[in-house]
Order: sequence, then C-alpha cells, then structure tokens
Amino acid sequence: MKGLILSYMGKKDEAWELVKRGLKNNLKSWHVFGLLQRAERKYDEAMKAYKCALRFESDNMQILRDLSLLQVQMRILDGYRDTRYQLLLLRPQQKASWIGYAMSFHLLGDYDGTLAILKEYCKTQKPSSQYDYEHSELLLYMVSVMLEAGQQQAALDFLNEHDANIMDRTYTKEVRARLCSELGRLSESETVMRELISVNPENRAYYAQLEELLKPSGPVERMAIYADLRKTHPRAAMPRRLPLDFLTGDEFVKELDNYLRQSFHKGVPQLFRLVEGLYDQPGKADVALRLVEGYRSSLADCGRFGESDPASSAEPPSTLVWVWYYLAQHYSKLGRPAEALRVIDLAIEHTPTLTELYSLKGQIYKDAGDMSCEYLKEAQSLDTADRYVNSVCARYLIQAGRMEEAEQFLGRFTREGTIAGEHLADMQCMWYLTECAASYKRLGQYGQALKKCHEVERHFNEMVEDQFDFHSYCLRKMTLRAYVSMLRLEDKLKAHPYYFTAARLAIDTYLMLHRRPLDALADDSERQKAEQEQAARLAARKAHNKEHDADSDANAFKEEALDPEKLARTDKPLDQAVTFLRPLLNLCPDSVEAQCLGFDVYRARQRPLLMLRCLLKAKSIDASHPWLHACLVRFLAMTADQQGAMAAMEPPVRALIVQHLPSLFGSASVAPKAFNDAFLAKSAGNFVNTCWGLRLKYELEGSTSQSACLAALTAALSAGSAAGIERQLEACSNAYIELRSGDLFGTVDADNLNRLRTQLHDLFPYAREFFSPTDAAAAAAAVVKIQPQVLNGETSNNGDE
Amino acid sequence: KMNIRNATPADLMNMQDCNLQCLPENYQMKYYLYHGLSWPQLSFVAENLDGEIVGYVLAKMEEDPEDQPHGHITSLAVKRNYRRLGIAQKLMDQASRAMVESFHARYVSLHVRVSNRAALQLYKKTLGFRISETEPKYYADGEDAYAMKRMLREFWDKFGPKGVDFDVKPAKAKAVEP
Repeated sequence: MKGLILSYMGKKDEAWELVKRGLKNNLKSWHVFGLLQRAERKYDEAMKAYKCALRFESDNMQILRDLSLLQVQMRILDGYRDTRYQLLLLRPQQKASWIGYAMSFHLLGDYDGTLAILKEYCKTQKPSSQYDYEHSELLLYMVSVMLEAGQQQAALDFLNEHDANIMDRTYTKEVRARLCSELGRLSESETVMRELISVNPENRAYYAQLEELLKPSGPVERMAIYADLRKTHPRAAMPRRLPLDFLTGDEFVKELDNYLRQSFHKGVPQLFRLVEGLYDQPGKADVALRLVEGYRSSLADCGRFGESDPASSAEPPSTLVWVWYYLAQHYSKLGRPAEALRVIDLAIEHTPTLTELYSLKGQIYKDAGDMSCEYLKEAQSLDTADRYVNSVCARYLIQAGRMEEAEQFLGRFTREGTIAGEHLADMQCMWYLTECAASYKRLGQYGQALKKCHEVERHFNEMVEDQFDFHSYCLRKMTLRAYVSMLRLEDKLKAHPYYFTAARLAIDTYLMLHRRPLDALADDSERQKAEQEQAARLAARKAHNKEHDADSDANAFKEEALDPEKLARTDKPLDQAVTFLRPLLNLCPDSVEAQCLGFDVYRARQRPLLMLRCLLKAKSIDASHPWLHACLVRFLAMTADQQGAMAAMEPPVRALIVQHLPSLFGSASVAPKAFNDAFLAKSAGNFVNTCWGLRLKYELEGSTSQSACLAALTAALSAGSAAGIERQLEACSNAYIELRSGDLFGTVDADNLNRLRTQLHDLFPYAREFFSPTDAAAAAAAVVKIQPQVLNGETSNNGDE
Repeated sequence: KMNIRNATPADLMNMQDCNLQCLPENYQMKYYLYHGLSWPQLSFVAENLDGEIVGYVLAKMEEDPEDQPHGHITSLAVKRNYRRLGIAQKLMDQASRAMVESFHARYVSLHVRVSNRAALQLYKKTLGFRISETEPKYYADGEDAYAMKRMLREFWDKFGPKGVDFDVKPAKAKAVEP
C-alpha cells in the first residue's frame, strides 16, 4: 500500500522497490503491482498481475473490476465477458453488473444475448418516474441493438410499447422514419421525416431521406418538394440551396439569380464557397459569372441589381462590395490572379475596414504563389480580438516557413508565460502540429519535423488512453449508445486525416533519412547551440510548470521528451516509418496513397512480398493513380534485375512474384521502359501524370535521358496552357523545386534551369518561386504599404451585424 | 449548404480543432469526451460540404439539486468567415431544444466576456438571453464575464414533456414529475 501511495506522489522508483518487497512477503500484493503496471501503460503485465491476484482471491470485486476495465480497454472481449459474468454473479443487485454483462455480448456481436440479458434485467426494474433519462437511454440502447441485429419489426414494436418512457424524441423519430421506410410503411415514414425537418430544417440528411421516400421522377417534381418546404420553412437555408444542384437551364438561372441576390443583399462572406460546388457541372460557372458580372455593372450604374427592374429597391453600398468579393474569388479559382486582384482592390478602396477583403487578397496572392502574408497580417490587425483570423494568419506564416513570426502571432492567444508552440502542442492542437511538421520538412529541418509528427502520434495515443475512465462511467450514466459509438471510433482513431498527414510526413522524412543519413553534427558549435536551445526550452517549461501546475498529477504517465536531434539521427529510421505506417494500412482501406506509402517503405526494407501486397491492394482501389504507376514501374525494374534483386529472393517468393506479373502488367514480360513510355503517351495533357512519368523515365534511363526529359517537361508546360495549367501551380512548384535540388532529373545546368524558370514565371507571374534572383531580392526588400483607415480612433468592420 | 446536426464522438476531435482556431479558452480531448458521453443529445456541429467543422456548440446539464434543471453552454464558436449564415443561432436553438426534450431543462445559462459585443448582440437580441450577474475576473486573462440566462418556455411548449409543469420551484422540480 505504501508503494501505491508513493507512486501517486511521483516517487516511482521507491514505489517499485516497496511493491516488489511486498510481493516477496505477501503474495496478495499482486493487485497493487497490477495497478502500478497499468499506470505505466504496461497493459500486458498488468493483466498478468491481476490474474495472479485472482488466483489468491478469486472473488475480490475490486480486482475483477480492474481486470474487466483493462480487458475492454485492450478489446480482449471474451475475457471481458467472462469477467463481467463473475461480477454479475457476485453482485446481481447492482445495475452496472447487468449492463456490463449485456454490453460484453454486444461487443462480441451477440445481439440476441445482449437483448436477452437486458430484458431479464428490465423485468426487475420499475423506473422511479415516467421520465427517467437513464431508463430512457437503456430503452434506446436496446432499440439500437435491435437495429444492428436487423430486427426491424421488433425494434418498431419495442419503440411503440415503451414510447411513454422515451425522452430523446429526435432519435426516436429518426429511427421510426428509417424503420417505417424499411418495412414499407412509406407514408408514415414521410410524415415523420417532415416532422424531423420541422425540428431541424438545416439537417442535410433529412432532405436526402425525404427524396428517397418520395422518389421524384425528375427535376420538376424534385423542385416541387422544395417549393413546398420553402413555404413551411421560409427561413431555412437548405431548401433554398439544394435545388441549385439538380436544376438546369432557365429554371437554374432563375433560382440562382434569386439565391445570389438574397445572399449579396445580406452580405454572406461564404457565398462563393457555397456556390463553388456547382462549377463542376457544365455551364453553371458561366451562368454564375454572367449573373454576378451583371449585378456588378448594374449596381455600379444605378445601385440596383437590375437596371430594367424598377421594382427592386436600391441596394446598400455593401452589396457591391460583396459582389466584388465574389468575383475576386471566382477569378482566383480560375487561375486568373491579376483580374482577381483588380476586383478585390476595388472593394478595398470602397470599404478599407472590412477584414475579409484583406484575408481574401492575401489568399489570392498565396494561391498565385506569393506567400508574403502582408495582407493576412493586415486582416489580423483589423480584428485583434478574433482568434480565427489570427490562426489563419499564423498558418500562412508557418506555410511560408516564417516560424518565429508565426509564434509571435500565436502568442497573442496562448497562455501568458508559455512558449506559444509548446502550449499549442500541450493542447493537442493538430492543425498547428501538422502545418509545422510540413513546413519544417520543406525547410530541411528534419528533426523538428519528426518531433511534431511524434507529438501528433502521442496525442492520438493519449486519446486512446482517455477512454479508460469511461468504461465504468458510461455503465453508470447509461449513455450506452454514445459509449459503443466511442469504442468503435477509438478502434479506428488513427484513420483520422490529421494522423494520416502526420504519418505521411514522418514516413517520407524517415525514408529520406534512410537514403541520405544526416552527418553527425560535425561542427561542435552547432551541436552546442542545439543543446543550449533544447535546455532553454526545458528550463522555461519547468519554471512555468512549477508556477502554474503545482498540483499537477505526479502520477501522470510521463514519456521521454522528444529530442529533434536524436530523432533525425536515429539508426532505425525504417522501424519508425513502419510504426507510423501500420495504422494507415489497417485503418484506411480505401486509401491508395496509404498502400503506395507502404510500398515505398517495404521497398526500402527489401520485402518483395509486402511490396506485392500493397500493389495488389492499391490497384483494386484506384488503378489509374500516378503514384501507383510509379510503384509498379519500380517493382518491374526490380523484377528485371535478374542477377541482383531477383537472385537474392527465396525461390518460393520469386515464383509468387512472377506468378502475379500478368495481373499487374498485362503480361509476364514487360520491359519497365516500355511500360512507362506507354503511361507517358497516355498522360499527354495531364501535367501531374506527365511529371511522374518523366521522373520514372529518368530513374530508368539515367543521365543520358536528361535532355529528353527536360524537353518533354518544357513541352508539357507549353501544351498545358491549353489544358488549364494555370490551376496547377502546386504541381509546377513541386516539379521546379525538385529539378533545382537534383531530385528530378539529376543535376541540371544553370541555363536549362533558368529557361524553365522563365517559362514557369510567364505562366505564374506572381509566384515567387519562379522569380529571378534579382526580382526575388527586390521583392523581399520592398515594403508593402497598406493604408488601414482608422475611423474615430477605432477600426470598424463594415458589414458587421 | 451548412449542415447542422447532432455531434457524434467522431466529431469531438474536429470540434476541438475548431475551438483551438477560434477561441482562447481550450480543453483537452477528454473534456470533449466527457460532454459527448454524459449528454450526447446536447452538442451540435455545423459542417460544410468538405466535412469541415466550421462551428459547434458544446453543451451540458448542470447537476445542481437545489435549482431547476438547467443547461449550460460550455463553448460556442463559429469560424469568422462563416458569419451571416445564422449558424450560431441554429446551433443554440438545437441545443436548447435538446435540453428541454431529453433533460427537461427550464433555462440555459452561459458566460460571455463583457467586451465581446458581437456575442452579446447575438445572445441578447437574437436569442433572448438576459444578464443575471457579472462574475469578476472569470477568464484566465482576468477579464470579467456576464453570466447570462435564457428561459426555455417556448421550447417547453413545443418540445417539453406532457403533464409536467414548466413553473416549478427549485428543489421541488424533481418531485413533481409523475
């Protein structure tokens, strides 16, 4: 016991000493031993310890409970069920015993078992009042189990039987609508769906379900549904926007006209984004442009939307500003930054205090390749109380590699006395960590990048740990549907896009370090500087912790601090890569990129069968993906290396590889060059694919192909102007950066580089990446003058509520 | 085409992300789990076409046995470039309705910075909150807060339990229900 108490006071070593002594003298201390192991997240050890403890005290409730929590945490579901059974036998009078036992069946997929146990339990229960939230939640949990089990009629009957005791009417309606629909009772379902829409007319799913029920035969009937709904819900936004998706022709023009006018009049900053989705449908972008340009000239002329429209009253001046704002976004999206900037400048001249205008101007520059961020900073200065504008500004600065400036901005909203970056890392701030990781990687600061990736990983691990307390909590609170939903989420937590982003960055970095390990810090002063910086950060953190968290949980699981230098100089980069890779492969079955990442890792580790598995899976997801093509080419090159890679394989492995060649490549013997050339031929007009193809061409054919590759790249850029290359800035930038660093076509001479740079500069005149050295220097030195209008000593936001 | 719907456990991480971008008052993930697993009906999100959470309301019930059942808004945020779409109001109305429906709340309370004019406008003018008191130095940076309250009578009439009186004296509220 003394050991346990000491462990909570943070005196871990002493604690372990005492506990081990205790174990020698008294075998009943296994329980305590287990608790300590669990606190250190050594789950397997903890389980063993609990089981040992149970050998001496098989009926100890506390040990059984602790064991059950660990079992469900680790998803050892058979064990969980057995332990919960024992708990039920020991305390049948306790509600949680029954619920826990039933839950264990549900998690094992035994729905009938779950329901039988709960029905048995319900027999003994009489709710204290008609309205008992916990009882209501139990009933709805049973319904949810019936739904999973496909017992629709039973679920509906149960709902009807217990209706008076159910409190969550909205969920009840949703289930009822779904069940009635599945059981063929369509008009009943429709009634309920309409009730749901009345409760929440902004739930997109409800409309989709209603349409499925009514099965309108075409746009006219569909429109009738929405026209009707607009009458009953005049202030709802969904019924006004959804028809724009399926209407065409004159109907579409009329609807869009109304929609735009209303939104411009109100001043909705998101209007363009709301309409942008329609641009993929043929002709709709042109309609939008025509209408909006029409408003623009009409408003400028006579202050109304329509010149020949006497009924429409004069619009306030802000309407025209929002029209310009829309047009600026429109032109920027189409890859026409000069026009976009012209329009946004009109808006700024008209209303210089509107924050959105500067944010947009900054975004137009960024999308055009100019990350100078001045306009974002200006936007931030106009609304210093708003953290979102600050976050956007900081994000831009991070993307531009201006890390210290970003820290300054972020520091305006983080706790005083902390280093902004550290505070955000503590707060599990994913956007910050992933943006920094990406930026540090671009800057070549691999240690820092890896540190951020590992921090993301740790946060995800911590979130998996967070669920522990809820295993007992939710059984008491009876919020069982939410609990099961949480468990299932936790099972695939690392499928989240943020994890993917961090994992991908980490894997790419580790692969790079594997190919080109960093030299040991040869320069002593550099190492000293790095160590000093690290020490300073740790000291600042300790001081802060001392001041603010005097009562911090000394028992908290403490992990080793992440050292960028150690991370970047690890001698097992591929092992680390695999740690990040596994969740992606397990949890993202629809991601072709995960499989390609897997291929790259297994190729570095020389595991041909695992490479093959990734290829097969990737092909089944998206056979036309260019990265997959790259993997295929490299695989083919390996199989063509009869004396090297193929000879090194075990015969059964080799045989399996050869066996799969036809399904991957169409025939058993394809030359890599021919395979890639075919791809290149098919990729004419697709700049991204062409880049991939040329990269592989160089890989296969070596430096003799350099001039051919350069020529092809040049040609692709020229041809690209017909194929919308102005929207491909990112692809062009990446290609140019790799060209310069020698990672695309080897070392390219200055003349060729300059020629391509000029070509790119002509295509993307605003992109600083393609500025000549003199232009770049001039741009860096130029001070951008922005004149904010300060009215009455206080900036105001025009167009605010 | 902003989608307003009940928050699920899968939304909690994205709500945290939105919160960190929009507000200086932030919470660990576990706190979001605590809300989602204690009062699953009460939190809502606003989601754009790309699935990005652009606004949310994180709500709970106060467990004060000496008062009428009432809800509390832990946190509400909408990304600044999504204003003028009525998102905050829609989120708040859904949360309030759920508080009445599932927990028989009679009112909802919240705290707001005394200097936050835009928020005060929303709560007072649009949503009908009134200030019940000022709490000095409520926020970590020392700023005062208004404690505000909104009676949920209209929600009770539409969504409240039949046969239960809206007007109950506190401390007797639980005993009255049949």
